Amino acid sequence: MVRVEDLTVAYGGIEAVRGVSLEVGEGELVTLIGNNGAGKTSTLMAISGMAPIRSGRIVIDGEETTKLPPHAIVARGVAHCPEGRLVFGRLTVQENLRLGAYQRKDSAGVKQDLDRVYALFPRLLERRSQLAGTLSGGEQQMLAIGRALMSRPRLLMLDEPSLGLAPLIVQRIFSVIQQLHEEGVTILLVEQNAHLALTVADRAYVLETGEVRLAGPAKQLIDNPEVRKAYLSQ
Amino acid sequence: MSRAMESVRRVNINGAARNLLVGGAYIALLATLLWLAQSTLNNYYLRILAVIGINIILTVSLNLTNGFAGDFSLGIAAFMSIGAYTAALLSLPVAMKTASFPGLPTWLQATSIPFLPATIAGGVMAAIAAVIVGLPVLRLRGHYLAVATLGLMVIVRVVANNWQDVTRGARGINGIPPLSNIWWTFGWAVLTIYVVWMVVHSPYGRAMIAIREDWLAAQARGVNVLRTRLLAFVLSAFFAGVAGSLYAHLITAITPSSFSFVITFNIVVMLVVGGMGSITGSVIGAVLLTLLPESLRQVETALAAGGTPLYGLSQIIIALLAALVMIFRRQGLFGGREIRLPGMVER
Repeated sequence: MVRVEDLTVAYGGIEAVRGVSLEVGEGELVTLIGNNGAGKTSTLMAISGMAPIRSGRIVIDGEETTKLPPHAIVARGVAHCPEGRLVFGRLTVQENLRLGAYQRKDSAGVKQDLDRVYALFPRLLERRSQLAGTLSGGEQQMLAIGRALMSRPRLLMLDEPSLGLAPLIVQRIFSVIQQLHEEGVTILLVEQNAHLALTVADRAYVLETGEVRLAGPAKQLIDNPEVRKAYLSQ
Repeated sequence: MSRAMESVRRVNINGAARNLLVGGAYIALLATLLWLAQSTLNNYYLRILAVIGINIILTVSLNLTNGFAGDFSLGIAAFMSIGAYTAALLSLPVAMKTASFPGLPTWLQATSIPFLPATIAGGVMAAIAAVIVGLPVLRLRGHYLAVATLGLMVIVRVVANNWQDVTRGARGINGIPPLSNIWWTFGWAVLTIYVVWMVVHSPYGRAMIAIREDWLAAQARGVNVLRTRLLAFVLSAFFAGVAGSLYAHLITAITPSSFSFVITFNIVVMLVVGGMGSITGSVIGAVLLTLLPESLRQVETALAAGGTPLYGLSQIIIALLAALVMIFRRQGLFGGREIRLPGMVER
């Protein structure tokens, strides 16, 4: 589905990602874990065309997308849900969701997906005419995920969906992620909560200072002594 | 009773048709008021009224860029100047051109076109200038547009001052046919409001607001940020160019210094006081802040006659008003909300 080859991302002179290669197969749930500044967010931003790529290639469905602008990458089925629940505060919940389907022309399909998002997150249905800026943190995260789903993506990239949320809401959001995975959506998940991420993922990459340190099936990494020591504090 | 219900429902279904009807009624009302004004007011008040129409065009169209798309353009004066010069050069009578503009290209010297196409041409030239400025600058994130449009203002002024053959330099263009009046300025104002309203309520308008609210998320959801920002900027430049033409044919004389930063400042204040992101706010802001300095000027005159000359008072009061709005009501009078005209149905 998506293949990243020897990617280097640099902001001015500072390299945030240094020669990362990774792959997400059709229907897989892959997670990137690692500490702050490991390059997880920059990797996602590079895939969706929003980070300055110095070298390397990004291939989506066999087509190179390295130099494409963000809107062209969205058109190829990628939905990026950025870190920090970036909702459009002065638009209503429903307007936010409709913007998620900005490039779509099939209004019947959009309506269907709107119902699907409301079914996944009934809270959003209750608050659909409320301004998104007035939602709680957890509701904003639900909205950000729902908005990403509205383009009917084939690759969903989630950046820190659990950040700063109460445990109960994190649970709700992760059960939705699992449900989407079971429905066959390809997911690339960036998460600081390594334990949680490794529990739901098929495979994982461990990033450290911009490089891939470890990679493998999530079940194996969760038992890896190095990972346990560094990321699971056990 | 059931028949009444039925007719109510039918009206709801035909919301668009009904809006057209009600909108037509409002335009008829406006026309009646303008006609009344025309037949009762003297020339001084009619001119103020025409200027109100021009300021509505400028404020409402600037709102597209500065209010909805979240950019900050200071290009009003430059675009007005381009529109004014273009339209004036096109509408001047041929006899006057041969006398006053010996250096003008012959095809232009031999042409004189009516007010409406000249005005549209003025708008188009301003829009082309906006594309040239906007294309490189609107790629960048941040308020580079403010700096670039200020630069444009300087460039336009220098060109107007030095391109003697076409602009007559600092002497300016005199004797522009006095074709502009309240009908033209309010006609264009209604068109501006209609176009801006349509854009704001289209997917493009939603995308503009999304960019304003969160640049990154808008990009991540597939909004073509450059194209959307450019659309807002170019449309607002077009209407500023139109306003420039209306102004030139109202005052009948323009010089490079007719379009100074003061105009830009005044329109930005009208927009801020009315409330960015509200079309009705822009209209009210434009009306209030055209009338207020005009009435203060009469106070100035009266004070001067009474022995206390306080010229410039109106400018100071406007600047103070802008500062007060910024401190106590930063969202402006309307704070991004609209007043819905009674009788209109929401789409």
